[in-house]
Amino acid sequence: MPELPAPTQEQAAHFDYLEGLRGYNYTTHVRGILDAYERETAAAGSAPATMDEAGSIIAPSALYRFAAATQHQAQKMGWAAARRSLEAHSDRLAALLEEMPAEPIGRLALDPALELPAYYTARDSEGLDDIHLVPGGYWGDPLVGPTYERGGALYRLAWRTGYTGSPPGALVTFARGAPAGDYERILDIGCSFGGLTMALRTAYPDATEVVGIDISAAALRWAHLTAEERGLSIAFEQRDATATGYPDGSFDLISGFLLLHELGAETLDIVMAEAYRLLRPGGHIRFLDMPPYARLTPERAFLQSFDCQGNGEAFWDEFLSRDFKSLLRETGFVNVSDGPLDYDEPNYWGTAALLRTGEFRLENRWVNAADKPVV
Amino acid sequence: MSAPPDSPPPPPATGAAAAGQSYHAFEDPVLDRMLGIVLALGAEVWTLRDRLRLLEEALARHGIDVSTVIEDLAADPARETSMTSDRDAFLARFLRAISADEA
Repeated sequence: MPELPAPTQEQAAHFDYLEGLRGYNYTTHVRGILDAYERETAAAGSAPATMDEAGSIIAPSALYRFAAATQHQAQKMGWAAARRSLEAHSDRLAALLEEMPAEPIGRLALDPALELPAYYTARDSEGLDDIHLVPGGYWGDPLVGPTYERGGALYRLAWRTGYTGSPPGALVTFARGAPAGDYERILDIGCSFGGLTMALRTAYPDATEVVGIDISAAALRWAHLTAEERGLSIAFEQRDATATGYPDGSFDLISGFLLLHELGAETLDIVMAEAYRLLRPGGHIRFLDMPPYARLTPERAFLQSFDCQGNGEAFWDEFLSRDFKSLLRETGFVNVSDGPLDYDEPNYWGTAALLRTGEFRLENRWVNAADKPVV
Repeated sequence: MSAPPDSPPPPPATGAAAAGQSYHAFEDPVLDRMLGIVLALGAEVWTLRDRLRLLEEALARHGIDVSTVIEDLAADPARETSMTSDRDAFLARFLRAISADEA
């Protein structure tokens, strides 16, 4: 990744404060919310069976209101602080993103004619909270890449410590979890800043081609710069996952990280049908996302649902309430499976999920996998 | 008291973000904004504390034990009168808005 400008003392102190604030909110407030919930349900002699029932107990409490409001405010403050720390360097960063490496080992193919889908831009234009509360979403700010790099680490309470690997070991482990096979052509759908794409290249260094597609040109530029700097040969292309334009059977392995919950049901149906078309017979798909509500206890499912309204995640509830495995089967996939990713890397994502579940849990990341039939 | 028919609709329930509205955890979005102000002030206070500590450490490197000097000054009874008057003036400025309508 291109080196981010060092923050000033004031900026660094601001980041420290926000990390401390979020950490306190997670470990003290959320723990208190769950303790109160347990006391109340124990006194009532019966535990709620659904997340809505659990929510009707949790949501009215002052502690939950403050915890939720703190999470929301801290998230907005975090992005603003991250973006502000780049301001004095914005000309240099913008030039870096415009120029691009002269002799790249991978490539960047942007499509200025690509029309961004309405669901992607509507929240911003309607004045609603943008995705993850980032001003301009993933596409409106040319510096969204470095903003996410810094703000994302802040979100994970790791702005000083960094992650345990580059790309993060958790993503490499996920990428390596595909069944043994010769993966010659690999596709990462909705790759944004290329975290998983780089993990796929790291996991499969001998693959003929690793491709990352996204609809955000700004995100792809940063992904390309980062991959080049790490010496990873990747093709980043600006394409819409609903209609990629690749021929049938172009890829052996198709993957995605935190993409599924960003798509409405209709879009997701189309994207999965497109993935099926793009996969060669016998090929493998593998997605890493959040666990479905059905796999969480009612109270943790309710806490998890915070992000839908509180973090600008328009399709969060819709996806996490859905039976994604059935969709995969209906699309034609076989050997459909799911389960938690067995990799413990708290710095990378454990703390980010604490507000939702009150503690670090492996199942905060969930793998869905399937194959395309050979015949 | 019932609302007049042309009054704006009440704010949506917790978490509901109607068109054009940001998320709010409290029924009244003003409370979320107030919390935002408090948290932003907290950030400023922490940033100043961090800078002040660094300043003291920087002075210590140059042989000035400013912490001890500060404690000595603070314990000086001669400062009490001027500090009290400064404090009262500060509070009057700070809290003026609360009693503004009564003046």
